[in-house]
Amino acid sequence: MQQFVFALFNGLASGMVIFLVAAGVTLIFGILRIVNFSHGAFFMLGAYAAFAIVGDSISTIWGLIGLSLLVGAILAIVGYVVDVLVLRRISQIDEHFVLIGTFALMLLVNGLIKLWWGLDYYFVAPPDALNSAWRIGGVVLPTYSLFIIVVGAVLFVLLDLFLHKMWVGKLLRSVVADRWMVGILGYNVNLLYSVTVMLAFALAGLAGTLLLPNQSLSPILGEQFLLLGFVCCIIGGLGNVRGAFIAAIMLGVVENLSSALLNLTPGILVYIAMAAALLLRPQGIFAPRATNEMASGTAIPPLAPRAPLALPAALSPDQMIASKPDRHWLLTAVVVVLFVVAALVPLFASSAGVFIVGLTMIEALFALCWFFLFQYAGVVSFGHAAFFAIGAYGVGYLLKTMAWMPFLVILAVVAALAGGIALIVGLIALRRASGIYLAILTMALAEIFHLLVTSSTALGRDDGLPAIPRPSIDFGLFKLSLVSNTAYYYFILTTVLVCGALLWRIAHGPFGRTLLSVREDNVRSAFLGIDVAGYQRRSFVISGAVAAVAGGLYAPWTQIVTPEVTGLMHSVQPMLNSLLGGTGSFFGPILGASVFSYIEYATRTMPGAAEAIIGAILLFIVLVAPEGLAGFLKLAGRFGRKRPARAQAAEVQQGEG
Amino acid sequence: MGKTSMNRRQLLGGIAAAGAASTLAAPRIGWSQTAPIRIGCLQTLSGAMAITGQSHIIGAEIAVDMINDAGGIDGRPLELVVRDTQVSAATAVATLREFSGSGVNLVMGEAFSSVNLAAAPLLVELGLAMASPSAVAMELTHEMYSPNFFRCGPNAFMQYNGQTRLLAQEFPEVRKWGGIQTDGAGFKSGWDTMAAQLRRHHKELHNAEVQINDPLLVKLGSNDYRSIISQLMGQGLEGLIFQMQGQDALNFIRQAEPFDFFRSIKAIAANNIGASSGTLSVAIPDFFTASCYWHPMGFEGLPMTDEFVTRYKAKTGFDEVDVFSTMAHTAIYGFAGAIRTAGSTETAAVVAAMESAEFDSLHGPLAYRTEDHQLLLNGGYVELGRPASGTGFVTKRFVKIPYAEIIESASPGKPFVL
Repeated sequence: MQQFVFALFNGLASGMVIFLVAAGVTLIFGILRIVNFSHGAFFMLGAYAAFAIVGDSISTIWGLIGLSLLVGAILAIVGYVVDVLVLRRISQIDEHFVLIGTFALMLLVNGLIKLWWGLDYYFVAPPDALNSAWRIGGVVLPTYSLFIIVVGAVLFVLLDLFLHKMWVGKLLRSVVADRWMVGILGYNVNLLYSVTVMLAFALAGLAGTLLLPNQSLSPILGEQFLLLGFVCCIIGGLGNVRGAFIAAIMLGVVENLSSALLNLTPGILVYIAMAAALLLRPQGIFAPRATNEMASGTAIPPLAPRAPLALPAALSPDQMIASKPDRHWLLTAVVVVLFVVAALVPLFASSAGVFIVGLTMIEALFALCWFFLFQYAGVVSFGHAAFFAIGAYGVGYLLKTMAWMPFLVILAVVAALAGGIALIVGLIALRRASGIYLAILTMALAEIFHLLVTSSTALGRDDGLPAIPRPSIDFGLFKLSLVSNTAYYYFILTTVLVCGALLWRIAHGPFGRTLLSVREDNVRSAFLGIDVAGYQRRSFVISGAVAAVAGGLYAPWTQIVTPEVTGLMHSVQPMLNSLLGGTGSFFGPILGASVFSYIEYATRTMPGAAEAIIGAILLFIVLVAPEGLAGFLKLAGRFGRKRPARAQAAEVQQGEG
Repeated sequence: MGKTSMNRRQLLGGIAAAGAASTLAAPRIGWSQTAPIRIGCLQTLSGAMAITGQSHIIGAEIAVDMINDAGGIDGRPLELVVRDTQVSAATAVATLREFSGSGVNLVMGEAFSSVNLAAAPLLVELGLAMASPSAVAMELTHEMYSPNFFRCGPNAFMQYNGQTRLLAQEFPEVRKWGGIQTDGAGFKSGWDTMAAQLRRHHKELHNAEVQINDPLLVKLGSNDYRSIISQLMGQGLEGLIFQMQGQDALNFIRQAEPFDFFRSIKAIAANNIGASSGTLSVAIPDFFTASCYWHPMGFEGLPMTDEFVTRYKAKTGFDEVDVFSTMAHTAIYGFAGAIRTAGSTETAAVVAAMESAEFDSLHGPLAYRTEDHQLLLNGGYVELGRPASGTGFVTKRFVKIPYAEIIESASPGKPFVL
């Protein structure tokens, strides 16, 4: 009984902690309709700022409250700058690019924090008055947890009063209802948006400071709480502050009771609840049906299922290289050169260099299959690492335990397994969710998979599968050994070429063209008799299977598979590679993977540098050049073609003259 | 037009060439009789386990300084090439390939068993010899034995067999045990050994059965242990098996303090914290008994002891020597002794010398067991306690245990059975 009471109490405290982080996320989405991935990073920045100001202890409760208000004010100013420089710009473009833009911002802030404060863990002692415990009937209740519960409840009440009773809050709600009308009435809508962002960032600063003595301070703090914050926003209904509050409390209590009393894998129930909420009631559990007012305590309805994607102008179909490959001679040449160089690498590079190029090719294939799904089917997956991991763990496990099985059969098995799982996920998820909801759903499913892998003894739990042997391929007349670095390297190169060519062929054939029409306008496509869901599902299966092949190549190459390959950061890797290389070209992801790999290698002894550089480049790309590096090459190609065209025109003119 | 294209190609070619040259080119071996001997160091230098890795590097650097100040090895100085693994086996494996490709063939391994278990199978292929200071997982010298892997600290059986016997002797009334374990190969090996040996020693010494609950598993780098603490309190434990290390261990202790969790615990069988008292931001509870490979109290009078302690204090400013630094010191001295014996830094020659020759160390002359490459050394355990004020700990006593006498028999390639 005592344990039950404590779990209930701890759940309440955990729920308040989650709410403190989630409040800002849900506020920004409610008003600006931006899913802000960077919120966790700014929450963490708040905690580090408080640590920089106060050091390793806080003497009084009032000191702590004063500090949190100060850091909240600092973060509000940071929020204004971020709004003007980033959020205001990306809110005008496609929702997927908004996700990617805020993710880039998260990378940038995370990287800068690591560069400035390092990767060490810090502790900040709470005020003495909060560093004890109350004993009530044999149950021990830490004072700091009580403090968090009180503060969380007070903040919720204040936020609710602000949105419902105060003039500014009502004005913000009216912006959600009708931005145009608010503008006509003479209000500065952009300023109102900025006020929202500043308020959300101030909440991040407050939360970061108040939670600082609650746990250790490290660069993973933001990531840990961001996911939980997202979960309660989804369950409560994106944009619904009251819903987020109730969902946070529910999640905290259910999670604590389940792990304490039922001994379930910690965290798994949270993501299952999130996936279920997205599938069954994406507008949020606490949102009344058929309402559209965020701040009145209801939720914004979800985006229409399979809504047509409004791609930025730079990616309009007539500009897409994919549909006009003749325009891409320069980029194609670069990619051909990259492959020729890759083929020659074992002749001149050290074993470490060969290893890195091999990894880059695998990541390039992974990025290509994600890009195929994104660019042709219009589906954004934030959980593709799960398919990669099915391939990696599957091949690793089978090579270790069933060495008699032919390697090509093993690769086919994992590809079929991943394809099958993609089919099931597609049947359920693509039917029920789209846009950002689908993106977050895939993230939740991948997290569930990650937790299952790390709790599986057969898959080595957190340690992973080491000592994976390299295979041989028996062709009957002869046996091709892939044991040596060089042999396996060429096997990777060949497989990547074959899979890349297959994807290219599919993308540029009738299937790919139909997909493009679905992506551009799924309603018209459906009127034309195209099975919209079926085409998206098939592209999901193809992409998942190829991701598994990439994972299958990875396991014998590195000879170890760890849960890192299933994590969120690996899920977004292909997205980063595609954006970096350029979404305007089929080969962009290959270029992106190469550049990304180089940056990572060059900065390997400077933790955070790669994240900061890549975050900054991606942000630049999203804001200024959505076609990425390939876009620059394409522009260069066009520049090169204009001269003969003009010369030809001049000749015609001369002839006429 | 032609000129424009040529420039573009030149530009791209230049970029590709520069990239290839800076990242991929094979190392050019420059060799001379005075060139430094480079020893790679894989350690966790950031994140939740950073304090253990930093301790190792301090010990390795002191060893290098001591050797170099004495003239190096045949006139050649030692040089450390340090890389941060962040407890990531995948990063460690990639770094080993980097070492192999850049001519660094002798490597001091990670503290964490899981990383070593990933690295050991690749050593022969990559042409590396590795000596790992603090990895205790039994598999490393049994079923995952590699001819090029050497363990220069005690294994879990050596370390915890003696410690649990002392606990059974000194706390005979503590019969209800349970605890917390970080999810990982080395910690699991530690838990299994502690649990099995506690049962055995209580049976042998007191003819009594002890109750040992299953461990509550936590992930490396976890932030919130309150729920776990509540569960442990609900078990009504008398003795706590504490298989955690680094910041995770400190974070647990910090969060357990407001609960007054340790008040009801009569004995704590712990891993070594892996840090000097001066670096700790929490006070270690009383009755905290931890394995300890080396302590000045147990190795007084040995030629290296005073010099090491003096250098340690000068380097860190702390009085309490951290034991992890001593194991790293032993690893470097092991390599140095083998290079001297072999008269070469080639992997095969160094491995052969490590298998057969004695080397000088903080423990006195030591040698690896030829069959499975387990270092035969003595160690002990310390009882730590809460300082009168502030954070850290006080060392109440050091009990020397002849690890080499209680070691399991060698069975490379075969699983160890408790």
